[in-house]
Amino acid sequence: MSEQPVSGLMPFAGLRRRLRDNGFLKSLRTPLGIIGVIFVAFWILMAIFGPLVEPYDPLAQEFDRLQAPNATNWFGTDQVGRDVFSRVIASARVTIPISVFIVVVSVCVGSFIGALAGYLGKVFDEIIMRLTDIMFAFPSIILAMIISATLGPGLKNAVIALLVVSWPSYARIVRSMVLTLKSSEFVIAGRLIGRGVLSSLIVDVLPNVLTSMLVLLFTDFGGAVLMLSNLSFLGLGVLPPDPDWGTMVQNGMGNFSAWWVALFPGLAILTLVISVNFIGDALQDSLDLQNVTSHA
Amino acid sequence: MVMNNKAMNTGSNAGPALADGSSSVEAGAYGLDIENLDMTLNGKHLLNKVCLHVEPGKVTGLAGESGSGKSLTSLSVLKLFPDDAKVTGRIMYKGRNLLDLSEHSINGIRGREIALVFQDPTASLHPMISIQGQMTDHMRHHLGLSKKDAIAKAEHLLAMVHIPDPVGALKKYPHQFSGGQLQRIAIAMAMACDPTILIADEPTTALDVTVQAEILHLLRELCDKFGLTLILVTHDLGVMSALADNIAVMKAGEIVEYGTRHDIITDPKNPYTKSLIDALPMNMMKRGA
Amino acid sequence: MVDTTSQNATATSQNTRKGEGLILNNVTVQYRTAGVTSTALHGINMSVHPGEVVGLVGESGCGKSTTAKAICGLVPVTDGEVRYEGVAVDPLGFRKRPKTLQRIQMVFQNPYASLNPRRKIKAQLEDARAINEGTAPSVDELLDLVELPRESANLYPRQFSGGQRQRIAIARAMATGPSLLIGDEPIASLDASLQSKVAMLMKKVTRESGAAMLFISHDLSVVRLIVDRLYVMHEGRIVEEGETEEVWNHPKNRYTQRLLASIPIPDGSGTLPTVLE
Repeated sequence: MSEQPVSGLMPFAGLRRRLRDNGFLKSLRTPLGIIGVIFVAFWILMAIFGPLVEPYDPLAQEFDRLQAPNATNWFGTDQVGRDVFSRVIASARVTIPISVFIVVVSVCVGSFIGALAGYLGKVFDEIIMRLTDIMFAFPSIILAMIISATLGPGLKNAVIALLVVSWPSYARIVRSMVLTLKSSEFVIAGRLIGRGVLSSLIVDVLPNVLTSMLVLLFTDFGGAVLMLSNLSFLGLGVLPPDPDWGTMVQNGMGNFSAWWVALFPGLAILTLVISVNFIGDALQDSLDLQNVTSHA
Repeated sequence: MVMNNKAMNTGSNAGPALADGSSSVEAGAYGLDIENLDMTLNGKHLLNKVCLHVEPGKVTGLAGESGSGKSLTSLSVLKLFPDDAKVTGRIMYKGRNLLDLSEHSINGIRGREIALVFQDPTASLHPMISIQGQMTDHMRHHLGLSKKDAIAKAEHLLAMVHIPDPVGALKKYPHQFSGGQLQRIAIAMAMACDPTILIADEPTTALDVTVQAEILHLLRELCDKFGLTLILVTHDLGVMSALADNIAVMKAGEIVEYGTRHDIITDPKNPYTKSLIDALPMNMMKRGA
Repeated sequence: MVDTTSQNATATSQNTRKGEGLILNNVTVQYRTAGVTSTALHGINMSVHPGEVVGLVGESGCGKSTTAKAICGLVPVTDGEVRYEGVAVDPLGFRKRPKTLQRIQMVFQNPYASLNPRRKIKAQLEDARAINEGTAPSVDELLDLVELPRESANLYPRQFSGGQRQRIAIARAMATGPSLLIGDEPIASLDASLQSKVAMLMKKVTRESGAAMLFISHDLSVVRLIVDRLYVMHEGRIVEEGETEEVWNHPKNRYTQRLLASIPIPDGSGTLPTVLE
C-alpha cells in the first residue's frame, strides 16, 4: 500500500479532474457563456499570435494622420499616423498578461493572508482586518492613482499600485470562507490526526475554497483590465508611445471628429471585460447550483 | 367504516352524507381517505399508490425513515407539494377530493379545518413578530374576529397548551421561549381555528426527551378533549407507540404495512417493519447484544 | 479479514503505556461572548480508564459537547485540568497535537461535515494511518472493519449515505490506532434503525482493538446498550455516575429519574411516558 505524500501542490493536482467531475465546464454551455468563451479565446489568440496578425508596425508613424477606416488601415490612423488596428492588437499583448498577473498574484497573496487571518484569529486577524479596513476606506482607483503617482508613472509602478489595492478584498473573502470551514468537523478531525495549521490549511481548507476562488478570478479579471486601462488613460500606466487601450482612448478624446481613434480600443476593452464577466457569471451560477444541490 | 365513540354519539360519520355539513367540531370527527396517491417529480417516483384510511378521532401514525415519503404523504393532504410534481389519486375529506380543489378553496381548509405542526418550532414562528401578532393575525384572517376577541382567544389557547402566564407570554418574542414552549405555542396556533384534523410532522424530534414527554401528553390531551383526528408523522417508534392508534409503515414511497399499534409493534409481518422493530435498543438488549 | 485487523490492532494496544487513562479534574469551561460570561461546565470530575467503555448522557445544552471539546483541546479550560496518560491537554494552537494526545480520536455528530468533501476516502484513511504508531490496518481492512465494501476507497464522501459516512469516520478514527475514542453524539443524525447498529459497531471496534471509548449521547436507551459505566450530566454538572444497569434500574438523582421516566417505551401498549416535576 503506497502512502500518498502530502505535497503543497496537492490542491491543484486534482483541479482539472474536479472541474470535470463538477460539470463546471458544462456550465459554460449557456448562450452568454459561449459568447464569453468565443471572445476571450479570440483575445487570447491575439495576445499570443498578435505579431502575425498585425499588418503594420504598431509604433511606426508611416501613414497620413487621422485617416478614417479604409482598405489599408482597417481601423484608420491616429494623430501621428500610426495604424490603429495594429495598435489595438499589439495592446492586447500588454494588457492581458499584465491583468492576469495582477489578478493571480493578488488572489494568491490575498487568499494566503486571509486564510491565515481566518485560521489563526486573534491578534493576527485583528491586524490584517484593520489594515484591509484602511484600504477599503478609499475608493480603490483613487488609491491606485495616488500610489502610482507617488511612485512615478510607468507600467511597473502601475502594477505595484494595482496589487496593493486589490489583495484586501480577496483576503476578506477567503477569511470568511476559512472562518466557516475551520470549525467544520472534517477540519477538526484533520487536526486531531496530527495536522499543524499549515498542513490543515493546505490539505483540508484550501481545496474547498479553490473553486469559489476560480470564479472570483474570472469575475475580477475584467476589473483588473479596467483599472489598468484607467491608469493608462490618466497617463500613469503604459507610457506613450507603447500601445495601450487606455492611452489610445485618451488620444481619441482629443480628436472627437476622428471617432475611430477612441472607438476601437474602447470596443476592445468592452468585449474583453464583458465576455470575461459572462464566463464568471456562468461559473458562479453553476457553483450556486452546486451548493444548493449538495445541501439539499 | 370504523367510527369512534364521539362520532357515534352524534350520529354522524365521515361519509359523503355530511359533505355539506358545517365544520364545527361538535358535529363529530372527520377522517380522511387517501386513495392511490401517486407522485412523480422530475422523473423520480416519490409516492407509489399510497392508500391510507385515516380514522376519524384517532391517531394515525406514519412511520418510516428519512426519504420514505411519510412527510410528503401528510403534506399532500394540504396540497403542499412542488408545483411541477405530477400527482394522481384522491384524498377524500368530507366527500370532496382535496386534490381537485382550487388554490382558493384549499386555503379555506389549510390551517382552518386541517392544521399543521412542524418539527422545528423556531423555524415555523417569525422571529421578529410578537407571539400576539402571530397568533391574532392568523385568527383575524381565518375567523374574522375583532382584535379584542382575537387576543382573548389567544390567551385561552395558550392556557390550553399550558403556557404559564398566557397574558405575559403574548407580549414576548419567540427567542424568549425554550424549544418546548415554542412547540406548545405552535400547537396553540394550529388549534386556533378548531381544526378537525391535525397533522404533526415529527413534532418532538427537535426536542429533548423530557420535553418530548410533555408534548406527547399535550397532544394526547387535545385529542381526547376535542375528538381531534391526528396524523402523526415520526421515525421514532417510541413516540409512535405512546400516541398512535394505527400505524402505517412507509418505505421508498410505499406503505409496506398498516395495522393497529399493538400489532405493528409486537407482531410485525413485513420484513422491513420487522427490521425496524428489531433495531430498537430495547429489542437489541433483549437479544443479549 | 476482520480477524487480522483485530490482531493488528491488539498489537497496537500492547504498545500503549498502561497508565491512568483520561482524567478530568474539576474542569470549568466558560465562554465569553459580547462581554457576557457563561459557564458551560461547573468543575466536573470524570475518568475513563484504559479499555473502558463509558457513557456521558444529557440533554441539549447540558455541556456534554463542551466536555468532548475540552478533552480534545478544542476549547480552553478556564479552571481545573484535563490529563491523558499523564499529559496535560492544552488548547490546540499553531502546532501539531502531541503524539500522546493524537491517540485520542473523535467521531462527530454530523456525518455530512466530518469528511473532507474534496478528497477520496482512501486518501483520508491513509492520512489517518500515517500517524499510527503500531502496525496500521490497511485501508481494505479498515473498510472490512466497518462493514463497507472495499471499492468504497476510490469514492468521494458525497457518494455515501449518512450512515455510511459515519462508518467511514469511525474507520478513520480507528486507522490512527487510538487508545481512546470519543463519540460526540455520533448517532444523533442517523435514522433510528441505524442508531443502535452504529453504536454497537463503535463498541465492537474499540473492544477488538483494546481502546477505551467515551460515548456521548442524549439517547439513554442506546447508550445503555453499549457502555459499562455512565455519567449523567445536567446544566454543566455531573449529577449521577455509576454502573449502567444500576443507574438504569435505580436512579438516585432526581434529574436522572426524570430523564429515565421520559423515555417512551416502544412496547405497543400506548402508554405515555411519565412526566416528573
